[in-house]
Amino acid sequence: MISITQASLVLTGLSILVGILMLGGSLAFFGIIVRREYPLDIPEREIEEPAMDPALLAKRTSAYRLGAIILAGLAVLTAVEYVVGVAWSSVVILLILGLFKAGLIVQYFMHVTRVWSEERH
Amino acid sequence: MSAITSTLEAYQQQLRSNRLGLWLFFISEAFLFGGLLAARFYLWGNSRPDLDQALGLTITAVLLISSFFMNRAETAIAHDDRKTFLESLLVTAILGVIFLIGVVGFEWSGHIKPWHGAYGAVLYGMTGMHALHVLSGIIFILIVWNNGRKGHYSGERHWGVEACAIYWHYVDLVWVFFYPALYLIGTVVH
Repeated sequence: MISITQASLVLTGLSILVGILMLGGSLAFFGIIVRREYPLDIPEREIEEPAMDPALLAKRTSAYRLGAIILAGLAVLTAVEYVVGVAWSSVVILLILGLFKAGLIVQYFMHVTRVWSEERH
Repeated sequence: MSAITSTLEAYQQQLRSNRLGLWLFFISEAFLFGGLLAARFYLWGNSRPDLDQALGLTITAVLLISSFFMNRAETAIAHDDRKTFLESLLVTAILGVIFLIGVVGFEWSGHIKPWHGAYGAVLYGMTGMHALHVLSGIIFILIVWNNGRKGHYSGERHWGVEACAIYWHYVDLVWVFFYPALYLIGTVVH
């Protein structure tokens, strides 16, 4: 005879399994069926990456690298935040760390300066 | 002045107005999330419920990584790298879904329920409102992804992508303040 707790655990496990299967099924549906039924509007050769000017390529690589550096910064700040929160729970330090993280996101991911400085992407 | 130059100038002017409008929308949203944060500090004070720390840290990491991929998608389309753009958008959406599963599927199935006084009300109010924004962000991303695979955006014209990216980062920005407020600040009350 299984207890209610065991039954709940089994049901939760089954729910998670069904959720994963549904997610996988949806991805397969979009990836295989929808793509086959509704092919891309532009020919495949236009999607292929055109040969790029080395200067532009370097600029693009640099832009990708900047994103990775910001992610690393956010990861370090979050780790420090976690340690501070668990060990001391200091509101002031947590607030300062939060403001640093917000500053990085607003400046480098949300490009706030574009609002008043640029009319291009 | 050629017709192309004139069209481009009109687009750039429109772009400026669009950006301003979007940021004004964020300011109005800040009052909503600010109100929820104020409610948390007023009702919980220097205490917090016993939440799963590992889960909190994991979903925070997932959201931060999703922001990185969103930024990568925007950078990619700005440089006409369509393949990376589409792949990064999909990864962002998947990470958003994982975040939602973490909050709704795991955190909400914990021992605190919405009817458990101030702790339940604040926890579900804050995470629920944020999860709603994550859900709308995922829908937004999937629409942009679908448009992208039809070839709708280019390096010169991709306001839809930029707006979607900024919106997603805003959702991340809100969580930057919600995470310590819910999981780290205050002493645990059992």
